[in-house]
Amino acid sequence: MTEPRRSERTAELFRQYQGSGDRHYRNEIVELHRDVAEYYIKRYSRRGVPADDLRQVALLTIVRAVDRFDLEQGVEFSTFASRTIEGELKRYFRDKTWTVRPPRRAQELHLSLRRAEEELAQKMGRSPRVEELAAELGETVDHVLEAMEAGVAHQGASLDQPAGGNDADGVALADRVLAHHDDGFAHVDRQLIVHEVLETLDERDRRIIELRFFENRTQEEIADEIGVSQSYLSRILRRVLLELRTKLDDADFDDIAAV
Amino acid sequence: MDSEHAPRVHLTIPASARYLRLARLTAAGLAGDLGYPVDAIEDLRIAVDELCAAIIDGVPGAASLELVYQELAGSLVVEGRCQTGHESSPELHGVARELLNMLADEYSIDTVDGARAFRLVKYPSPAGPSTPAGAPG
Repeated sequence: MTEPRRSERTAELFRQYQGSGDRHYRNEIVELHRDVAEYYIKRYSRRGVPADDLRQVALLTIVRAVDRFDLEQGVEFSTFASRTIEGELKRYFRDKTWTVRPPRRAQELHLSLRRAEEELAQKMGRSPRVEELAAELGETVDHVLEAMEAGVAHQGASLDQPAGGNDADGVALADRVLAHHDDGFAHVDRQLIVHEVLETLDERDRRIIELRFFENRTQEEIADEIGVSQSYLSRILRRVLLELRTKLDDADFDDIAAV
Repeated sequence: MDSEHAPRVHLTIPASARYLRLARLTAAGLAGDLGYPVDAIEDLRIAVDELCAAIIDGVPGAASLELVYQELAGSLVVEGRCQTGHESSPELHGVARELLNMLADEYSIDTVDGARAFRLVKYPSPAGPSTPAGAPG
């Protein structure tokens, strides 16, 4: 099928699917865009992950993309699907490199949800409806409902454990990292953000931060353990803290970044 | 939990795609209560949706979809049934079959006593349950 013909057919199928929810239309859209998935599967399959695993990720991504796609945005579905598939495959590779895979998607959505809810409430002068939140976030209504349910259930377990080091009174790690407590969601959000940002560091840098700020070890002790000079360790710490600050700024949590 | 005492949740909804959200959300809510990880809940949600969509495909608007959710031997089991009024067997499209093979740990779909029916088992983790979901708890 030629590209203009596919584009026309896809738009027609979307109109039918969004009007009726009939799965036949969705399945045809998915079939029409298999080649988009295959392009990225070939591109990423040289990285040591079986092509079948990538194919599963890509199929799920297309299916979800169909449910999230907004025909009115004026973007071709093939373009939307390409970007989404590539993003998911990158995420897949990134997640596979972690020792523990956090429920990143749910965390991200929960955080975005709260921001979107506040923005929409201000803009509209009333509490937004679920459909409005979903449209604002480019998510399905189901995911928004689930994120609302899951909002209080996420864990920041490692930050809640008593700190080691010289504190005999069991001060929580989060107390040191966050400097002060906020009640409710804001506190949970910050734990999640700090936890998530730490996960983006490489293993050595993360270990250094954990030793210095979570276990309260001196620079000298850490330099010994890592096997570098104290002055070099000091430079590493400065660099990593700057990096963390930038990432926290990006996450729009300035008060944490200022810690 | 002893399966004899495991709560069963019954849900009856109109056999229409627009109500399948309730089937998905019930599954997700129960799996969350059972401590399923987010990834497994997402898989379960999609699998329930595909199977429900398959058994309500082409049925008259007045028909109902009856769902029963139950924990058996640590796994969530979802059974669906839809009285179609005719004898046609439910058919899975290739895309739906691929998704189910990927996301469901066990599933079956058939016609039973003139009604289309499915059974889906989702383990809490890829390692599977400690005992088969069909075994006495």
